[in-house]
Amino acid sequence: MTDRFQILVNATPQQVNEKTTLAQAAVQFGAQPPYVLLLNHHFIASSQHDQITLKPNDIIEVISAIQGG
Amino acid sequence: MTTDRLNIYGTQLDSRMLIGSALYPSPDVMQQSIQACGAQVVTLSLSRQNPQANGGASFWDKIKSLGLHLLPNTAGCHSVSEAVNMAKMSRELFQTDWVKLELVGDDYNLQPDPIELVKATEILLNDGFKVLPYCTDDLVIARHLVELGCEVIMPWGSPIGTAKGLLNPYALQAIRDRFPEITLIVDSGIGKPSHATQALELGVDAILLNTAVAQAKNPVMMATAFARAIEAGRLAYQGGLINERSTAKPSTPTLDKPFWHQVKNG
Repeated sequence: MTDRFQILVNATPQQVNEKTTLAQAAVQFGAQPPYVLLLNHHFIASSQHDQITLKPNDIIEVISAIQGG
Repeated sequence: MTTDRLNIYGTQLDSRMLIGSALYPSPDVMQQSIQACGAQVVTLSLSRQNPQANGGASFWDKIKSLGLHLLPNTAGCHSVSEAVNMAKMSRELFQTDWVKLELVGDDYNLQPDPIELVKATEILLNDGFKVLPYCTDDLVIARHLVELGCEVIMPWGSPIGTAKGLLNPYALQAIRDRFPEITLIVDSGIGKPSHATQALELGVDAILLNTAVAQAKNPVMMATAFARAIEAGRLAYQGGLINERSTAKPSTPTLDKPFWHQVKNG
């Protein structure tokens, strides 16, 4: 049996499987490209999204373009 | 033919108007307004994505279709770490090393925090960013930013969204005179085209504005008005304004007027 744990994605609780990567969590959330990711308030370059395995209570922010002045 | 172009870290631009992408009544009006003013730089920002709202794809598609230089901002950041993080995210998402660095020091008037701004500017310049710092009109803060290596500085005319124009033309003039080689852009507080003209007349190189166009009754028309006002101000600066006087001086020669002696004796 695979252990599951909770993370937060854009302030929404999500259950993910053990060994879920940052990239997989973003896809599970429904993130639509183009986007960038923060993990626990730190920017993570896209080249590392596949290499980072999540831990319980990790906080992910999926960020995309909006209007600005 | 003379070449008079705006220089942003070596990129030469024909337009001296930079425009924001927020607060328009619709994405279509935003697109039409930006096209109407001829701006070659558009500002934008970052936010949490909402997949249910299609991830903001509509806005992003319209911005991309304009084919302009993108100037991402760090609006809403209150600390150096927030601003640096946001700049790095913008660099990856928008594929640009330009950043409009905003660091809020006071929520009441959104006044930039000069001390944290200088710290963040140094970090970002060292990381290869081309920093366009949004600052107050303080000459000494401007000096610190220039000494760090900023080639562009963007003092406020007045606080963001107030439409009060240039609250302290003297301070802006002092920055212009002290740093003639720096690209000087007034960012924020511009409410009327005449405010923009005034800034260009005193030697400011360009204007960055958003609200005055986006919230106008007719944003497309207002965008055109600002473009012409900025062009007029630039031409006036290059033409060389006359000095003010405290007393009148006739523009029409009075010597040999037929009634000259009558006036004198009467």
